[in-house]
Amino acid sequence: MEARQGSRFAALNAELAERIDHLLERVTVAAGGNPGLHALLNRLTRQHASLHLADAAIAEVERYHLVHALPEQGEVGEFFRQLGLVTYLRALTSDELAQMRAALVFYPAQVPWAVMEAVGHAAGVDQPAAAMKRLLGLGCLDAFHSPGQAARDAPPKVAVNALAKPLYPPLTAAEDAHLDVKGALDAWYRQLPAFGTGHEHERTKGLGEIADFLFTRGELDDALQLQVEERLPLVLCLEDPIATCEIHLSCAAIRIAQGRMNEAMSHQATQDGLAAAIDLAKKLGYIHVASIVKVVKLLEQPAMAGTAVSYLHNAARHFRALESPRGRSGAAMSADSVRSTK
Amino acid sequence: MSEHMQLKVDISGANREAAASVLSKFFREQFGTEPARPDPQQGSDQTRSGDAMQQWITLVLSIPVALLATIDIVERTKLKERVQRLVEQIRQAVQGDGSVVLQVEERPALDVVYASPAEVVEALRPPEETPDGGAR
Repeated sequence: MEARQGSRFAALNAELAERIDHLLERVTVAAGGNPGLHALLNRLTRQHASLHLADAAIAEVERYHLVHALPEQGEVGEFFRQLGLVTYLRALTSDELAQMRAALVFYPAQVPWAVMEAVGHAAGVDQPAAAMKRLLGLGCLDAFHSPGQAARDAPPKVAVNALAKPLYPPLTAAEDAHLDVKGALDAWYRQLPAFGTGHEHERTKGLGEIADFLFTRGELDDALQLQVEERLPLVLCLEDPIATCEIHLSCAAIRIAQGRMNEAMSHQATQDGLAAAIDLAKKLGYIHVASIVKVVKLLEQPAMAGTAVSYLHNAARHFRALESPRGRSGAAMSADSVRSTK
Repeated sequence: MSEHMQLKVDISGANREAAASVLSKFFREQFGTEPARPDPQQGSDQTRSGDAMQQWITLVLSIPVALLATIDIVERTKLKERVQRLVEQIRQAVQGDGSVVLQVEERPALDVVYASPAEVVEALRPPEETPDGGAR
């Protein structure tokens, strides 16, 4: 009797833990990188007695991302009032507003400073750099510096702030065409260190970011071509197993998104890539092993292709994040142990 | 909120007629509106005692706010290019002698001769786009 009750409690606890985990996953996405909002939604979620309140609060922020309605209720509403996003929007000059809307074309990517300047020019902004500095100051754009003094002295990468983004009307097709994304992409390529300069890892990473951007824009053929013809030879040359896995995951995601599911799964490279990714992730104790395994299961049901794509895409991005020196040495060590077990 | 914005331009200098004609053309092409020239006799400060010669030209017009919105990047770029040409033509017309002072509603006046195209576009923005405009 007691044992049965104990197992019932355990089951209830497991269910509760799963619900909380699910809510916390949504919190991370909804907070859009804002630490204050993240802390607030986290706190609401961890007050177990009011999970439905946490769910409502998260849903309100999700609604803001989707339909651009600013949250007004409760603590979350108060947070957004304090944030004063609308005040910042209204403080922009016409040029700054044009720069901000032009920047939306890259969302959510972090792009080199010169690339963001290029779309500003295309949008008729006289001094894109000055407009970008003001937008950074107001929190409409975020800056990202690479580690190291040299990188800190160089202009940062920039991205549209996730919480500011919903306030700006999305770009129309005519505006998108006007922004000369092709020209901006050329500028992006020019920012990458050339092959043979000793910065090949950086080049691989940069090419991956461009491929990601193409994927997000739905330019799948170009994304696949870049991955297969430019990145893969480079990482094979570098004997970089983590990046190899990342490319295989990305290619699988692109092929499935192209609707060539069968081809994707019969593709030896996809299978090898997924298998190697799972192997490596296990060795690293890497959290995304779970999502990759999930993907492999999802792939058995063609209707779940969309979900599989997003899991693969996410896993690939997290693999790329292993670019940090610690991740790199860890990856190299586990790659060695993978080789030795074969 | 009014759906029209009131614009007033005071043009002075020897070449004021040429500058007025450049401006009239711009307003006609950009907003489809011909500016009016109020009767100088009615303006208290436009004629001076003993001097019947009018020293400056005043143009006034009312523009639908909807025509001034600059949120669309394509439309804004076109407007900015036209304003760029307007500023160049006005500078040519006045030939360094005179001023073309633009006053939109109660906003600070702007001498177009010395302004950048960005400043002119800024002056022409509809109230709901600007910091002191109505609440969203």
